[in-house]
Amino acid sequence: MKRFLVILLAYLLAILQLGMRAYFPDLLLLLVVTVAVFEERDFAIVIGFLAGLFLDLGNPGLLGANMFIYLVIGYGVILARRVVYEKISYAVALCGAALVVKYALRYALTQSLPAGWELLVACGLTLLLLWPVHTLIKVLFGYRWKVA
Amino acid sequence: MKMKMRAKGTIWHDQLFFILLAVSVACFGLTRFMQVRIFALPATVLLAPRAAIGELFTTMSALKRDNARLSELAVRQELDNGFWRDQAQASAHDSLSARYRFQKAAVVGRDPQTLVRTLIVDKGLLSGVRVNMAAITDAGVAGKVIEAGANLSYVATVLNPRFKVAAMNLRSRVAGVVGFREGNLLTMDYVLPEMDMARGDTIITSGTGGVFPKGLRIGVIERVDSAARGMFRRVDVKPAVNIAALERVFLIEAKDWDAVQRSRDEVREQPAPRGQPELKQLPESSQLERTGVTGRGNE
Repeated sequence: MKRFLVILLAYLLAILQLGMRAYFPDLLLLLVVTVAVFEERDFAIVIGFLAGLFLDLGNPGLLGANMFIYLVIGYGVILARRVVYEKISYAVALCGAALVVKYALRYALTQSLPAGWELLVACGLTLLLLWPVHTLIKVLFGYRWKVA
Repeated sequence: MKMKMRAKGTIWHDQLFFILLAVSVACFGLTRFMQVRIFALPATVLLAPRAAIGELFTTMSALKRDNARLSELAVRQELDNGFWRDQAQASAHDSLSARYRFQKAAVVGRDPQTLVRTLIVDKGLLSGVRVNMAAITDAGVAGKVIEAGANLSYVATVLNPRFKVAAMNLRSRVAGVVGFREGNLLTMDYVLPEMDMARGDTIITSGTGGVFPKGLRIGVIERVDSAARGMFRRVDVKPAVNIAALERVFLIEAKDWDAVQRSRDEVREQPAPRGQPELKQLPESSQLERTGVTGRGNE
């Protein structure tokens, strides 16, 4: 049930994100990062894939690109989550790295990026919202720290 | 054993990751046509709520816009309605039936010389007819009462030399005074050469003076002299009413005429302001009524 709700939340966030401008914070990325930190690996991989799929369905020209990006980010966070367990402040660095990966992959795949200021605002807002969203998701789904 | 299980799980996760990665790369590699073909239905189904929400917001904003526009329109309409209601009330108040008293009278006699200058009608003082009541027909101005007996009254027609009426051009609003000229023609006096008058223009009463309501037809301009004779221009007007064939007229009088008379009397009784002539020096209107040369009678 909890996993179904997480998928539903990913779907809703994807729909929300599709209707927003490029400077809107990437809440879906925050969800993927948080789920990848707390959830089991298989589900974290699936969530990364589904998040990308939901976004891609709204952008038919980019079908596959977001799947690839969020899947890679989710998998990368799974691999690096031991670091987050050791020190929570590393989560910000992890999320920043995820953002860099996201835009780098996006540029590599689509040869296009949002305008400079939009990119900066989006990254800034995403990092700013990292902790509140992270905490909110933890509370909503009852995630606890545990050693993988 | 535990390590083996964990290693097995890790391999499974890696396999899942690579499978999904392959799927995403495959999707990215598909042609646009194939992408649309494969994902059109899921996209439609999954994005239906988004489309619905978008439509909802669009509809809401459109409704808000429409509501604002219609509210403004309603207010404007209400203002317009108020305006027209006022106009309707004012026009009802100002209408002839409201402001004037009507008396239908039949023509029972004519002056023996010309048959058109003076008419005798079958209503007099006992029927409420008074001197200076206007005589009109559905065609326009016929004349005015110049003398009233108990049961008969004399009406000076528009073709009477004593008859004058304040008039204006319906088209150009040029004002003047219409009176008898000769034969079956009237003339409009005090028209300056530069005034806009043309043959065929309708001349109506201007309503000043209180005897004739504004807007009654007097006649149509028959001829306009291009050159001025003296200060003014000659304008011949053909009467709207065929006096020779007139059988009945309506005698009308403003209902508030008595009030006007009373206020005039009150003004006369007040001392005149410094430097202005006493109004008492003016001749009494009753003395002039029979002659038809008072301001009211000369309208």
